[in-house]
Amino acid sequence: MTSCFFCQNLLSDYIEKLLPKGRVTEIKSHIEECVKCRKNHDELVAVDKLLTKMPLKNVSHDFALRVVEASEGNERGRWASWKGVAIGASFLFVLLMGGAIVSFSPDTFPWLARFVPFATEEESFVRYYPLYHQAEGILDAQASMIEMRDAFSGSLWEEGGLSPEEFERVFQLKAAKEEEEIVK
Amino acid sequence: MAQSAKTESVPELRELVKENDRRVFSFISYLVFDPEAAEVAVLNSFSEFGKFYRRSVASRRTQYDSDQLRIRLFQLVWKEAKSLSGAPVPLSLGRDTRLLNEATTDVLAKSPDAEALDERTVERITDRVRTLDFDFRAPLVLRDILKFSDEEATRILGIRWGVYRHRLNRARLDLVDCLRGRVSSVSSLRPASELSL
Repeated sequence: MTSCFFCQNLLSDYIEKLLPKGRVTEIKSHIEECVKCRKNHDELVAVDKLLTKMPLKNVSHDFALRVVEASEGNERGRWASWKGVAIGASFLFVLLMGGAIVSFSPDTFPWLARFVPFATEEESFVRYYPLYHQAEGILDAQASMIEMRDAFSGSLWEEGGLSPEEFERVFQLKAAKEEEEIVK
Repeated sequence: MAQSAKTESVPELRELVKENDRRVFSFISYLVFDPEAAEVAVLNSFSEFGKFYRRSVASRRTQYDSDQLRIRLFQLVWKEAKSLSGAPVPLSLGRDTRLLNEATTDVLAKSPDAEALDERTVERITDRVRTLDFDFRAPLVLRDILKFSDEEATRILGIRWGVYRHRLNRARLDLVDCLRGRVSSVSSLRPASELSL
């Protein structure tokens, strides 16, 4: 016993004679019995006839020429050329944005920031000695101390640093000098 | 000598293009509703086909006859049409959900016995074919309108035989409903602006 659903699914195959003999007999007997499926069958046959009469779309002479040119590689579709422009523009945009990010915030990509030249000496100092960033006061004090120390003895580095007594003496001298200047 | 014989057996690109441009344009017009987008898709497909043709002639490894080249061309067209399905609304793929003119007119009753279809009927049928689902419409257009064989259609669409036959049958049954004017599922669709939510 064939159902209408089953029959409808096989109607096209039945019309085009693609079904095996046993199945053809089943569908045929169902169509004879069922009014709805018979109607569907007749309508499908009519639609098939109708569609075979559908003409192809006409192509204008100009468009046909453009098609030939496109196939021969002389013309790319408008979309394709826009695509190229869009890709180029987006590449440029990414490049510019990347450059801006690296320039304004070197910490984001430190490995990339190495390749970007810095304008001032201070900036490059910060780059190479990031831990000394904003420690200018301390560094100045240390530098001046070393300067004063050098006047009295050998290099600070050779001796391995100031002893507490030396440190006190140096800074007392400095303070005394300042007092003298103030008095003058 | 052997080389020249081989070159002769490969059909000329220009001939192939001239033979198939109308069919390709018809196929695309059923799939893509926007005429401008359809033209671009046709040009892109032929451009890709030209590249494929030149590559295959240059490589000399595989030799294609005109039928195989035609199938390859339609494969590229189908690929191009599918690639447009991700595009926004103006290219309007999928179903054409615009309201049909004279949606309840029974086109089928008037025309099957006529020798040739008049322009108005062709227009009506085209509109109604376009209301079918995108994946169901393609087998119908290839098989019934462009008259490809089943094997060729399955190769073009890259689907298996059973899937292809099922889609073709469903498309025909849906089209029958649509042509008879029993298009409740499609004609009842209204633009979102008209819906009262």
